[in-house]
Formats: sequence, C-alpha cells, structure tokens
Amino acid sequence: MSAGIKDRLTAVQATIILSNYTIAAGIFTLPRTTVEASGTPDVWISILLGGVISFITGVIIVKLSQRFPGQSVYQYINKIIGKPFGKVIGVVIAGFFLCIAAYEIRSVQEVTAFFLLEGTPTLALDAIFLWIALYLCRGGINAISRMCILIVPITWAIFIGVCLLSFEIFDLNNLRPVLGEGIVPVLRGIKPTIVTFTAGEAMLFIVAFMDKPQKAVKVIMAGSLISTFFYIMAVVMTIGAFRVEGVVTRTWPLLDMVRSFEVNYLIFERFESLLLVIWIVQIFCTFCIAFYAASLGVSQIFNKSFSNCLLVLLPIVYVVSRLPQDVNALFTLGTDLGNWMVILFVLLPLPLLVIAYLRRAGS
Amino acid sequence: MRLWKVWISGIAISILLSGCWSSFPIEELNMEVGVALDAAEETESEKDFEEKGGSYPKRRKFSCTYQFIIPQGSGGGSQKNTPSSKNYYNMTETGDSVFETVRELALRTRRPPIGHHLKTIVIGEKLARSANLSELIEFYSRDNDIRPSVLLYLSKGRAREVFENALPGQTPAFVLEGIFENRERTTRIWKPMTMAKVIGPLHGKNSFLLQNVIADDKETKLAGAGAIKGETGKLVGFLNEAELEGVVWLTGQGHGGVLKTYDPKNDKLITYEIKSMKSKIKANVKGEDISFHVKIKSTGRYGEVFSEDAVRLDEAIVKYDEETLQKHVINMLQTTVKKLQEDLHVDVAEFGSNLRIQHPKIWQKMKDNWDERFSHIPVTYEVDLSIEGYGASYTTTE
Repeated sequence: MSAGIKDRLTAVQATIILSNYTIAAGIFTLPRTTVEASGTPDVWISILLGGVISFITGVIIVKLSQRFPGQSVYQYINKIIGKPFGKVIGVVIAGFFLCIAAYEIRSVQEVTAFFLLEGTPTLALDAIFLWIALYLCRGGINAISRMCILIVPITWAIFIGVCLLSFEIFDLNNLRPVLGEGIVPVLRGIKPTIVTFTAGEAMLFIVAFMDKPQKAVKVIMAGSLISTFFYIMAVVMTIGAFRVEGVVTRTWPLLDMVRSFEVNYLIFERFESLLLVIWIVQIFCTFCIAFYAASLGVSQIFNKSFSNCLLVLLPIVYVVSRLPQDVNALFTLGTDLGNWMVILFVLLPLPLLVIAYLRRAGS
Repeated sequence: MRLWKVWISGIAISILLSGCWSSFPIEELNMEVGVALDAAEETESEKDFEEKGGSYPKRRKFSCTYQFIIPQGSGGGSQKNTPSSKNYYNMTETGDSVFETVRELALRTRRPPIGHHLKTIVIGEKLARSANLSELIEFYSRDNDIRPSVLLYLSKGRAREVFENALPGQTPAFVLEGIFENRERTTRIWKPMTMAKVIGPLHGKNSFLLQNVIADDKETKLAGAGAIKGETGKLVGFLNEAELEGVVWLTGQGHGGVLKTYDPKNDKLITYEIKSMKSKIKANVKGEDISFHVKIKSTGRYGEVFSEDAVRLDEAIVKYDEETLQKHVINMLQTTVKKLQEDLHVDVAEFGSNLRIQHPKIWQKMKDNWDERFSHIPVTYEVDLSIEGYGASYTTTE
C-alpha cells in the first residue's frame, strides 16, 4: 500500500473535504448555466432538487464503499467486476479527477487573468498554484483536510458576508412568481446543477480514509447540505440583482453581481477582489483534492509509489488545463465533464452495488 | 551544501519578491470618472486636429466626452486650491466605436485612461433618441475594469455640458453619483439605475426610466426622467419633475419628501412631509379584461401649513387635510398615467411586472407588445395618507 492509508479522517474532516471539493469554480457560472437551461427564476428549486439527487447518488456510493472497508474505489472495483474491467473503469475515474483538476486550474486562471491580474503571464499563476498543490498533496489526505479546515472559516465568512452586502441591489420581484411557468422548466435546470456539484464521487475514496466509515452517510448529507446552501445563495442573489434576462448576458454572473455594488460605510468599498482572492484558495482546495484522487488512482491501479505519481501527473494536469483554446472551449469542457460525471457517478454506482450484492463481494 | 541553499533562496527571492507584473504608478494614470455620450459633434480642438490630418476612417456616430480627475499632488494640506480651480478636465473624441475613441485618446495624452473608477455615464437626448441604448453601453458592460455599478443618466440637451460645470470644488461625475442620497429629501428623483439594473430590462425588452439631468452655464439639476422603450432600446420622451413624482408614488419608491397642495376652501397652503410610502398594484383579470388597482399608503407629518383657524390638533381638521392631500395625489397619479398611456405608450411604473407576478399565465400571452396593450388598460386609485405628527408648532397665526 503505497498511498498513506495510515491517514485517518474524522467525520468532520471528511465533511469539510467533501464540501470544499464541491464548492468550486462552478459557482461563478452556475447562475447563468441554470437560467439558460430553464429560463425561469425558479432555478433555486432546480438546485434544491439537484442537491437531493446528489445526496441520493452519494448514498449509493457510500453504501458501495462501506462494503469494502479501508479500500478506495480503485481497489474494490476489481473485486466487483473483475480485474480487466475494473482497471479500465479505475483509469477512467482517475482520468476524470485529473480533468476536474485541470478544469479548476484553468477556470481560476481565466478569471484571475481577466479581473484580477491582467497582464500577469498565465504560467506565473499556474506554476505557483501547481507547486504548492504538489507540496500539499505529498502530505497526504490529512494535510489536505487540515488545509481545508484552515480556509473554511475565511471563505465561508467572506462569501456569506458579500452575499449579505449584495442585498443593497437585491430585488425580490426578480425571483417572483414562484413556479409561474410550472415545474417543467425547473426540471430542465437540474442537469447543469448536477453537472456542477455532484458530491458523491469524492466519497469513492474518502470513505476508505474515515476512522468511522459507518458515519459516511451523515458526511454526505452534511456535505450536500452545505454545498446546496452555497449554490442556492449564489443563484438567488445573482438573479435578485440582474433579473433572469440580465443573468444570461453575463459571462461570470456571480462576480458581476459582486461588482455591481459599492459599499461606502465599510473599510472596503469593493469586494470582488476580496471574493476572488479567497475563491482562488477555495478552488485550490478542490484542485488538491481532485489531483490527490487522480494520483491515488494511478498509484493504486499500477502499484506505483504515490509521490512519484504526483510528480508524473503534475505536468499532465498542466497540459490538459492548457488544451481548451478559449473560454468557450473551457465551458464546453466543463459540460463534457459534467456528462461524464452523470455516467460515472450517477448511473454507474447502482449497478455496481447490485453486482457486488449478488456476487457477495465485500462485507 | 549550505552555499547551494543560499543560492537557491537568493534566486527564489529575487524572482518572487521583485515586483508585480501589472504594476503602474497610480499618479501616472488618467482616471475616468464620467462619460458623456452625444450625437456626433466635434469640439474645436477635434476640428483643428482633423484639418491637420489627425483623423482616421470612421463614421461620425457619436462624441464621447471623458471626464478625468486631476490627481492631487502628494503635498497634502499645503495645496493651493483656489475656489475656482477645477480638479477635473474633459476630453472629447468623435467616432463610431466607444472602445476606439478611448484608445484614440492615447494619442492625445500620455497617461493611459483607466475605467476602475468610472461612476456615471450621461447620454444626450439626440443620441438616445436615435441609437439603441444597449449598443451604447455595450463596451462598458463588457470591459473588465469598468464595473456594472456605473450609474446611467439621460440629459435633455447636450450631455457633455453636464460635465462642464459643478459648484466650486466639486467634480460633476461625483456629484451625479452622490446625489441619489437625496432621495430621502425629495420624491422628484428616480431610483439609481446602474448598468447592472439596466441590462436585464434591455435584454428582456421592458421599458424603464432613467434619471434626466440638465445643465445651464453654471450648474446642473436633476429634472424628471426619460423613458426608454424596451422594444427599441431608444428614448421616447421625458417626464417632467411632477410626472416623475407621480411615478415615484405609483411604485412606492420614495424615501421621503414633500407633498404640497392648496386647501380648495380657502386657498391656503398645506404641505406634508412624507415619512413612508408604500404602493401595491393589483392586477384584476376577468376573462380578457385586465385592469389595475393602485393602492398607496403613506404616513407623514405637517411640514408647513398656513391657516386662519389655527388649531390643527382637532381630529376633524386632520381628516379634512388628509382627504385634500389624497385628492391631490390621485390627481397627480392620473396625470402621470395619462402621460404614460396616451403620450409615451410605455409602462415604466412596474404595472407589467405586477401582472407577471400575480398572473404569470396571462402575462405569457400579454408580454409581447405589452407597452401598447398597457396603454389601453384602465387604472383605478386608492390613496391612504395619514398625518401622524405636527412638528414643533401646532398652530399658525396670521
């Protein structure tokens, strides 16, 4: 066992990792993608339903993982569907995490280069990000979890604070009437939601590290609640500021919402830089978790040393992150990843669980 | 080995701490604080330049006037600021692309203009009537430095004149930004319309109002509002101060102000200071017929009253005054709605938005061409004013 499986996570640590993994770059664009799909201000209901679906699929994954205590998906999948198929699926999952990591770093680079550090070379942004991530991941999942716990109070406080300040430009009429166009558009909005924040896949390996795996269902419940709360807040405040018609015209609606007000009774007048800086740290966490998951997969599938895998994957992540030609291609990559996510982590786990049950694999 | 470490950290420090890629000394920047957009009309200096060959292929569409602030030197308190000295200056460029005009300024001044602190955009009447507003503000809503919190104004007359004069020591663009604080003092001011608030209606093809600002040789004044028609994105006409006051009452947007009328019996002045204002527009739908009922509630106190019979503590007199004021408000509302329906044919008082919220299904059928449909919908009014205070004196003597 090359990866530091001696690492143990408490339920709280696991919850924080899970919520940090799910709240990421998608929050900047989710208001637009959901509104584009549904066309109504009721998308917060879509997100609520998306959260429920995310929770249910997460529970299936947890149940699956609980059958194989102390093992990650890359190890137990062989026992369910046999080694050849198991290896293929394992590689696909590791590849997925790798692409997620690449997607996150590219998103943060695009947003930062546009709003925050115009003129700074992209390599300068990416390189520091990647090197620190490498350093952190070498410390193992416990180091990542401590990093997450460290930043959570700051990011959450700033995010919620900024949302509260934006009440200045909030207009409830923009969100009314509730269900004015019926439930059908709301259902159309669920897909982009799932694509953005399905939490379950992280449980494929987190459960293996938990000191009390029986608490994993509680972890997924808390994780889904937290991320659903954040995403609903982002969408509600953005639509409240821009109306449905305005949201669809903004590339990064959440950031533009924060750029749309100035506060003259606090030390700071503008909050977009603050939010962006903090969000880079938030995305850094997501990146590290996904990068860790990908390396863990490669090391366990091919039985190689974990830290060597990190070193090998690092340049690959960077290359993948540079592949999309422009922002459009980046958004397309995001959607594609979301579709893969639906196949891999929403549709696949249930058959796996059934097969495992029938073959009496695991406990 | 130790030396090796020193070298590594030395290189790392000199790379990482040597500075910022995008740094630029702030006193070397030209901060745009205001933009005035007018129908194309070159200034004297532009004409001069053009005669000497200072031009490029362009269509003459509009003139952008940029207001820059002059950075105060680092001297601090020892500044010699004579009252007449201006701390801003304006530059005008005529062209067909807003973006190009900004960059053309780079040929006229060394200090690059930056938009981080752009506060106000004023659009002249002539241009607003002929060009689509969403095209005019497209550059500002796309740029990464300029924030969607920029305020939009219309100006009856030339917009650039608004930026020419302010009271001593003040900068016109900043005055226009701060003046919305005065919504507590008067109801003849519309809510601040930032770019963020305008993008939605423009894209959704809903009509809305923008505050109008006018200029004379020395000063500027807010004077009513201009109505932008959603379908075309163009200015269709102006509401004067009294009509704007009507819209503010209709929508219950007022934060405070004055309501003045005369007692019909003895022609004596009654003014009422508004403390609160609420309005509810109810859409009644019976089959194909739609009608609106506007219900306004307000509380306040006597502001200034002339009267012969002195005592105002009498319940009956208060009641009588309330009714007089209510009649005046209803009159004002009727005049305003008449102007909106018969003259301008635009719904800028949120009638449509209330129909959308209360009857979403009907709205789906009505929303196309709503402005025209609105023009034929009957509106009824109900105003409930209550005078809750008298101020410091309860009598006035002759």
